Amino acid sequence: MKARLLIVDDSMVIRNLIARQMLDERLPPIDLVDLAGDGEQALAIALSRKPDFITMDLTMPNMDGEACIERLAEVLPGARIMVVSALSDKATALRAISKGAHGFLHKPFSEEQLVAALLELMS
Amino acid sequence: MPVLHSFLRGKYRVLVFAVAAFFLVSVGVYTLNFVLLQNVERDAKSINEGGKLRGYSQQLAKAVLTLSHESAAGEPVQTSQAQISEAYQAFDLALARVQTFAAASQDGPALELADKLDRQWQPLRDAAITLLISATPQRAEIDAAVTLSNTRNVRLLQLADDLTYEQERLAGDRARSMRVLQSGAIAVALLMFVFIVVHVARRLSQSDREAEQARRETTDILRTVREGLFLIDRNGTIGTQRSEHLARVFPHPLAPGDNFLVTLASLVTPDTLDSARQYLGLLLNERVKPALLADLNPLQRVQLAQPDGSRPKYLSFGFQPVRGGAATGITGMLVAVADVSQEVRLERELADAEERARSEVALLLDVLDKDPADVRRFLDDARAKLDGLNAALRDVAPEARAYLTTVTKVCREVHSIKGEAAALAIGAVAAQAHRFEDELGALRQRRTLTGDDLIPVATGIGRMLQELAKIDAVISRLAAFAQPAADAGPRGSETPRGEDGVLQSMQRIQRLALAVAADLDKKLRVETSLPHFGAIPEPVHRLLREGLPQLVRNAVVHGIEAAAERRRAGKHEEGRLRIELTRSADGGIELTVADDGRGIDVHALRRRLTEDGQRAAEQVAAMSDRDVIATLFEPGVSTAAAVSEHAGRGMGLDVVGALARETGARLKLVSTPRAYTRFTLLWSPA
Repeated sequence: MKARLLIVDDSMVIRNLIARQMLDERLPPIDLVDLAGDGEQALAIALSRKPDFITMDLTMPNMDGEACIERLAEVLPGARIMVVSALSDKATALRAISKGAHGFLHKPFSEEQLVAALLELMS
Repeated sequence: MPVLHSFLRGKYRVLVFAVAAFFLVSVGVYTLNFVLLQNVERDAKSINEGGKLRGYSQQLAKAVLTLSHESAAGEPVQTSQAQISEAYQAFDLALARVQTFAAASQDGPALELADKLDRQWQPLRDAAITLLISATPQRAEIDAAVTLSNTRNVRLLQLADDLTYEQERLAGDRARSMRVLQSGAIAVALLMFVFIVVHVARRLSQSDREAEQARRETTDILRTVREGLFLIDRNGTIGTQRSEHLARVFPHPLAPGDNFLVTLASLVTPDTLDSARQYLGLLLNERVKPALLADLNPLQRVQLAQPDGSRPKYLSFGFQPVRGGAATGITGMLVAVADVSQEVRLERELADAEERARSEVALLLDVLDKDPADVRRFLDDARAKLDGLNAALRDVAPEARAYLTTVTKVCREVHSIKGEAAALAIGAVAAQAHRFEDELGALRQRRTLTGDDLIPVATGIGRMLQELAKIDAVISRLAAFAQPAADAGPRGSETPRGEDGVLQSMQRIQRLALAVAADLDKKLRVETSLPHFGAIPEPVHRLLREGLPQLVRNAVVHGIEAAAERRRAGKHEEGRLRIELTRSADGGIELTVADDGRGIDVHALRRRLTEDGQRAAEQVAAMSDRDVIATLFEPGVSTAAAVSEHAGRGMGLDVVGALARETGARLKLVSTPRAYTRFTLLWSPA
């Protein structure tokens, strides 16, 4: 059974960059990729599409990433969430993991770093 | 069950087996004893029955004789008959029991004796029963019974004795067997007991030795290790064991039972404490991968709150989960604390040293290919200007207008220093001046300044002076290297320059113009004209040094268009900048800077004056083009859309205007829109 991915980021460039990277043959096949531009959109999409994996920006309009992770951990506990953020301080990462994130990738990231982080998330 | 399993597999295995064997031996011995005691009881009963046979045989013989006498005397015989009946029945019963016991004991000789007794008994028994049939037995029957009783009774007594003897012998054999068995069992039990005691004692002794060795090794480790080590449980409660080094590293005493995070609260910021609490919680969470937390330890390098004035102290905390076993999971943390203050200080010193080295190398490269006299003159002039500014700051009148005038003056001088530094390609000073100009620009935007606003101005002047001091230091080192060469002539000569000096100045200006054009992605050709005219007076030289860079930069930034714009305007892609220094027939000197760029856009200048709020719209509308152009020589007026390092602050022409006044030159500006701009400075003959 193939997996579903939800990419949450207020930057279209980052959303497209991650989505494009899913074609990398080193990654497991993904049959459905959804995109969301903020936390509220992400929550709505997650409830209807039930993604297996989620990449989550932290600084976003409407609902920020931390609040979204907290809600997702309640309503979709099986989903594995990786934070992709330019906020690089340890306190932010620890808060995100405490709230239910399973991985952390700092922006800016290289292609190799993104693939390695996604592999780790999907393992 | 797990406890028993661990016992059977652990160091108590031998002990468990020994105790089990002791128990089995005891049960065996008890069972054997039980069986043998039953036999002894049966033997005793059998001996007893053997003795009874003797008694009953004699009782029967006596009753038969009594009956014989009573019958002969014509007396009643019923009593004797009753005694005969009782005796023969009792004999029958005793004989049957003896036979049963002998059969149960499988005692051959006893069985044989019992059979003999039975065979001797049966005729006498029959004769006795005959006497009981009639109330008055016949004399012949009585005599036959007496005769049989006399003969058989002796034999029966003999056989009964033999039987009793045989039974006693058998009982004796059994008793001996039992004694041997019991002695053997007691001996085995004793041996086992001794084995258990010895084994347990040896085990205990070995355990004591191992425990003592482990305790000694643990103590040695905790005394020797160069880290502060201690344990905390899942709740953060500090354990009893800790390394001696901990007391030297940790600023507070850590008592067993204290809470680690509570102790930490007085040493770190609340944010760090929150992060530490979260981090420890995640470390204890089995579902969070340790790799995810590898780089997130907020206490990996933490500065401790220290009393004011003391050196900052940095500690590094490492946390290693402690597992009690597969079933119990993580039970606590081993905490390792190290004082990394020295490392942090060294790293910072190293970074500072690297930064200094980089800065000095950059300065060195900046000044290496310059004329030492030019650099020295620049340094002296710049320092004099900055000292003058400091004096102006000290003497400023305490009113907003005076503050603004002073800030504007500082702006002008700093801009001038930046221009000279750029002309000499001393990038560090130019960059420092540019940053300072940013700060001053922000101040000038405010129309009402207070005395406090001049503090950053003084600080900025200090930074500029420091930058100049660095160059001084570099030059001093270079001078030390090149001492013999330095002896050849005076350093930083103040004498007026000749044609060679002017030529070098022109070359520098040419390089500056090309560098600015390259920065702005413009194409440029610089032409210089420098006819031979001997020594140049100092005022002119000063303007060449301080003012010419401003004029040239203005021309390249504001005048010369980008290549595409020039193509659209029908011009050659390459802009042209001409710098001329000529001497007139009457001995006057004329400096011209002309470019074939876009000229001065008077309309744009009017708009800028209004938008910047420097003039009211009506006032600007009433001004002639000439007056509008004249405002270019006021501070803060520029046609550039944005500030860059090269131009846009509106200070360049202000500097030139001030220099022209100070050096006694007349300044002329001629400009045709979209065609050219020409600045001319004229010094009358001395």
